[in-house]
Amino acid sequence: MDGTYLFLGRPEGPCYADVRSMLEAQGHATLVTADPFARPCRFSWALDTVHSTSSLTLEGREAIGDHQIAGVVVLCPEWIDPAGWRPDDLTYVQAETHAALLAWLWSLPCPIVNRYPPAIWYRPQAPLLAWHGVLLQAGLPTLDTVVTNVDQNGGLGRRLVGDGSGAVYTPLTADTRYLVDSVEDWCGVTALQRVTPVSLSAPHGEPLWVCVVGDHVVWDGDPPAEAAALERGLRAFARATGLAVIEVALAPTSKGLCVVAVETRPRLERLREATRKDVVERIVEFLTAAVRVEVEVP
Amino acid sequence: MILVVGGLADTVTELVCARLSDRDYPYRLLDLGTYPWGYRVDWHWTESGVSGNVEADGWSLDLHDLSGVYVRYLGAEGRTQPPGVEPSWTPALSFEHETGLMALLEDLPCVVVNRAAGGISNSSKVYQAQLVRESGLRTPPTLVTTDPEAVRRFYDDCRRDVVYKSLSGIRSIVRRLEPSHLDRLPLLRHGPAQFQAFIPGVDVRVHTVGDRVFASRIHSEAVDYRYGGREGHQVAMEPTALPDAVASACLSLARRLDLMLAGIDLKETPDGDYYCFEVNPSPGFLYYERESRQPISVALADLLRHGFERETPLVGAPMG
Repeated sequence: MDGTYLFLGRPEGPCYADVRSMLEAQGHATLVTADPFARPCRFSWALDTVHSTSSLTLEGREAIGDHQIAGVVVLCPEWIDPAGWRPDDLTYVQAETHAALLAWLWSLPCPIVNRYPPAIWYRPQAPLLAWHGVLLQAGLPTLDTVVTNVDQNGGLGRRLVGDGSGAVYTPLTADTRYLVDSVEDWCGVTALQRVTPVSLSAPHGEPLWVCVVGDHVVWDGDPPAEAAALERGLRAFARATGLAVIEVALAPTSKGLCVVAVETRPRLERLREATRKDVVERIVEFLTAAVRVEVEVP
Repeated sequence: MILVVGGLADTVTELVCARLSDRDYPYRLLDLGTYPWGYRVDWHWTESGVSGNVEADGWSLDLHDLSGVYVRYLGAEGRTQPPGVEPSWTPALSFEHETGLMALLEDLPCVVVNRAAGGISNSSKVYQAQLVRESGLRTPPTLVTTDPEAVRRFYDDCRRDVVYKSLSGIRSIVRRLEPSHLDRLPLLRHGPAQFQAFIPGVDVRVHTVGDRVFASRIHSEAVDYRYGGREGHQVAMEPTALPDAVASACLSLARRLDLMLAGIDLKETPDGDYYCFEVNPSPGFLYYERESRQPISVALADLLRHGFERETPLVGAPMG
């Protein structure tokens, strides 16, 4: 036996079920725990200038050390049940748990899907705008975006798309988008601008999702004509984020295909079945690669 | 032109503004206590990067004209209630407009003290400890655990001289683990805690500003000198010089985190070893400047005016 694959978090979704099934079908041992820091699990990690050694004991199991963990799949984190907690104490214990998990994952010398840098760990739903600089550096086409509280009486939409077809209002702290294409909509935007700058970008067409696993790019459908150039950019983007698996959506806009969404937590359920199967195979391939990972903390 | 983003009531922001004035460096203050009311912002992200302007009554600032930005975010208590907005909406609105501001600061090509992405490592002290090790500084023997028996073993291994403190960015007072505390170890079932061997010696607070290093030696009997006054301990401070290798490791650590200004907590042992405990990405350096009389704010003003060659961040982590 070559070690155990750990699934950390809520056991749900295809990234959990399909990846786990495939690992087990290949003869690998797997364990799942919603929260490695909650009873009945026992966790200890000793760290000093030279050494780092951890031990995790799941209920009814022998303790496993760092080098017995062959790989980790990080699922959606399990939140502590707030029942019985004072709000301040709950916030504290939640923060402590997340801080410990992030750090421990960086100490493990095995492949991890995904080993999140702190900025992503603490902001998994960062707005697309927050990725703009990294996307540009990777050579990927970005959406032109305006953040403004200057009332331009609808001129924003015209400026963005030129053809009067409106704009998309995207709150920076919510996973929703609104098409602004009527006088009434623009009045709403203007009202909102009195309390906060708003983020507006050009409308786009139907998104095409693409998943990058290591160096492999898997399109969820027919690749676009410019796929070769985009794939170079997608690999560069994935490397810049430091994530093993990342999903990106591209969509047609008035200036061509642009990145319209970035998903740092693999959500394979929205992919077509054939794509999903391919992605799952790539994830398992990544996790079971024979090389041990030399972890360098960014 | 320099942009200062912070609250007028914040003494560190006030010091930065005063120093910029002393040195005749032109600046504008974006007061987070009242932002975005009273300000007009119009920022554009295109394939050429970010451009646009900020305006307030009496001034207008083109983002292209910026040589540096200093930012120090406020807690909820520092913000005024916006006119005509339900108080219950205020936190969500603050989150929304500060997210936009962070996205802007992340993408500006000038010096930004500090971009949020680098500083967020401070939300996990043990994550930071791994960076510290790689920078060449020492990390105290540390135990992160949910297991009471592991704590008892660690306590004995460390000759019963152990402290405990938070793992996360939530500020806590460092306290010694006393024998009477061992009865409370079963509470670890609720989540992990961090224990560290107590390192004897003298606290040294280092501020890195660009490529400059200011070190202050702190004399106090308190386990956590920051709270020494509460426990009746005196705190005295003096400037000190660091060995070249330690100064270099501090600079390397700050640059690796993309922090133009960092507050680094060290301890020098009687054997002359330096242990590092934490890197603060938004240090309240006023206290150290006042007590040790080192020109930290002057160096910061010069950095904001004249810039500094920024290394490409290691991880394109989003922040905004």
